[in-house]
Amino acid sequence: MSATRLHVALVLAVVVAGALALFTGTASLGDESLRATLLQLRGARLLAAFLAGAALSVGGVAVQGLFRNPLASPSILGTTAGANLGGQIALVTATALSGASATLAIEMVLPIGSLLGALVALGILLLFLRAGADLLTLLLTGFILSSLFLSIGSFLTSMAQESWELGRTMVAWSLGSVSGTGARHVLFALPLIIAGTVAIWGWGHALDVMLSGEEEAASLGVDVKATRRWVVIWVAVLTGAAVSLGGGVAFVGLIVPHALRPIVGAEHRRLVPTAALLGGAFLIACDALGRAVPGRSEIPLGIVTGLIGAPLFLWLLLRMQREAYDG
Amino acid sequence: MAESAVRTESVRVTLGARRVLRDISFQAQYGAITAVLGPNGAGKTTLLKAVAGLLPYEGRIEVAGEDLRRLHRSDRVRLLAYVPQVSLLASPFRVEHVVQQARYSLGTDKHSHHAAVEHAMEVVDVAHLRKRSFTQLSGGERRRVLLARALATEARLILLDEPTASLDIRHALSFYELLRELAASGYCIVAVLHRLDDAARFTDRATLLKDGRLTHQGVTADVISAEPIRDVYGVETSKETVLSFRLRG
Repeated sequence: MSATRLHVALVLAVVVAGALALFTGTASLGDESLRATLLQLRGARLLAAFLAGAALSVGGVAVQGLFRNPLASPSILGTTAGANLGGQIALVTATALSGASATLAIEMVLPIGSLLGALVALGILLLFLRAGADLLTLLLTGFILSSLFLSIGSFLTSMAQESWELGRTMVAWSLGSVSGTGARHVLFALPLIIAGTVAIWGWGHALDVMLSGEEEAASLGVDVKATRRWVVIWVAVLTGAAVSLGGGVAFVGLIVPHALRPIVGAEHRRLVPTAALLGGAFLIACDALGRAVPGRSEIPLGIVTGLIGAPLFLWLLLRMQREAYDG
Repeated sequence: MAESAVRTESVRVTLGARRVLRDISFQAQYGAITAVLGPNGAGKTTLLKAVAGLLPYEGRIEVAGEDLRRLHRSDRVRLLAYVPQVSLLASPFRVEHVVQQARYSLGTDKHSHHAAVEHAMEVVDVAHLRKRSFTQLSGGERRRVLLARALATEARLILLDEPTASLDIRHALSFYELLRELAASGYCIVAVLHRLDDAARFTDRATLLKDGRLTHQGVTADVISAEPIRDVYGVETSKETVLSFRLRG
C-alpha cells in the first residue's frame, strides 16, 4: 500500500471512530436541549482520546527503536508509572489541602501532577544516563522505577479508601479514562504531544541507524549518547502528557507500532505519523466501545484497551512467528 | 612508499581492568589489503575498533594524516568505514535504505547522497537487491550490502572484521575478489582474518598480534612464514597444498 493511500485510510479511520464516539453515550444527540453540551463534552473527550493514543503510539515507536525490541512499550522507562504516581499524589495532596471533594480538585491538578511525576522519573533516568548507563542499565532502571512507583501508588490507593470519593477517583484514575477531560486538559497536553511527536520524527533517521546496534551507529556518525538521551526525554514528555489525559492506558504503545511495521516497514519517519493516526483512532474507538456496553454507565478505557489489546497482541505475535517460520 | 591510510603510535587500550592492547605501532597503506592476524584473544578486533574510533585509547592514531581524536564524527565517517563481524541489524529495511544509512551524518546534498549510494551498490553488485528486505537476504548478500554501506560513505579506508566468516567457499572467494578490486582502485582495506591461507593468498601486507602486542608486520609472505607463525601460534608451517580453490570463469 502506498504511503498516501495508507495515510488517507488512517485519516478516514480517525473520522469514522470520531463520528462513532460523538454519537455514542447514554444521552442522545437528537435531544436539541442537550446537543450543544454533549458535543462539547464528547468533542473534548474525543480529542483527549486521540491525543493520548497518538502520544502512546509514537512513544512506543521510539522505545521499540531505541531498545531494538518490537516488544517494548513506552511504560518500559518507568515514566508512565511516574506519571500515574504523580497524578495520585496530586489527587491526595489537593484533597488534603482543599478539604473539598476530589472531583472538584482534579480539574488541572491531575494533569500537572502526572507531568511532574513523569519528569521526576525522567530526572532519575537522566542521572543514570549521565553516569554512562548503557541500554540494559536503562531498561533495568526503568523496570525498578516502575515497580517502585506502582508500589507507592498502590499504597496511596489503599490509604485513600478511607474517603469513599477520593478512593473511587484514585481507582478510576489507575484504570484509565478520558471521561471528565475538558478543553483545558486538551490544551495543556496538545503542545507537549505535538512537540514530542515532531521531535521523535526528527530523531527518526538516527533511530533507523541505531537498529544496527550502537557500535555500528556510532561508526556511521550517529551521536549515540545524544540520541539515547533525547529519545528518553521525548518519550517521557509523551507518556506524561498521555497519562495526564487518560490515566493508565495499557497496550496502545505496544501493539500499534507492532501492527504497522509489516505494512509501513521499519523506517521511523514513516512509522511516526501512521502510528499517531492509528493510535489515536484506536483509542477513540476503545473509548466509544467502553460507553456502548449496555447495563453499565461505562467501562474504564484501560480495561477496554487491555481486553482488546492483549488478544490482538497475541495474534500479531503468532502471525510474526508464522511469517518467520515460513521465511 | 604509498601514503599511509592509518598509522598508530604506541596505542594502548584498556577494557575494564584488562589491558587488551599494548604499545601497538601499526600502519596500512592505500591501494593494499592489510591482514590483521593472531590467535583468539590477541586483540585484533580491539585494534580495529580503536582505529574506527569506537574505543577509548592511549597513544596516537592518525587516519589520512589526521589525528583521530580531533576528528568530528562526520569527518571520521568521510575518512573511514567499519564493518563488524556480525551486524545486529535484524530489521526489515529495504536494501537501498540500509545503504543510504551511510550518508546519515554527511550533510543534506541529496544529489551527492544518491550518487554515492548508487555507485556503492553498483560496485558491490547489490543494485538488483535494492527493493528486497535486508532480513530476507542470504549471509553472503548481507555481507555485500554492509560493504556497500561502508563504501557509500566514500571513505577510502575500510575496516573489516572477519569479512568472510560464515560464508561458503564460493561467496568467500567472490568477496575476496571484490576486496582485491577495491584495493586496486586505491582503497586501503584492513581486515581481521582468522584463516592464514586466505591471508597468504589475498592480502598484500600482514600484522601479527599476540597477547595484545604487535609481534610482526610487513609483506604478507614474510609475516606468514615459519618463524613468526611458530612464535605466535605455536604451530609449524608446511608447504604442502592439499586443495586450492578459485572462482569459475
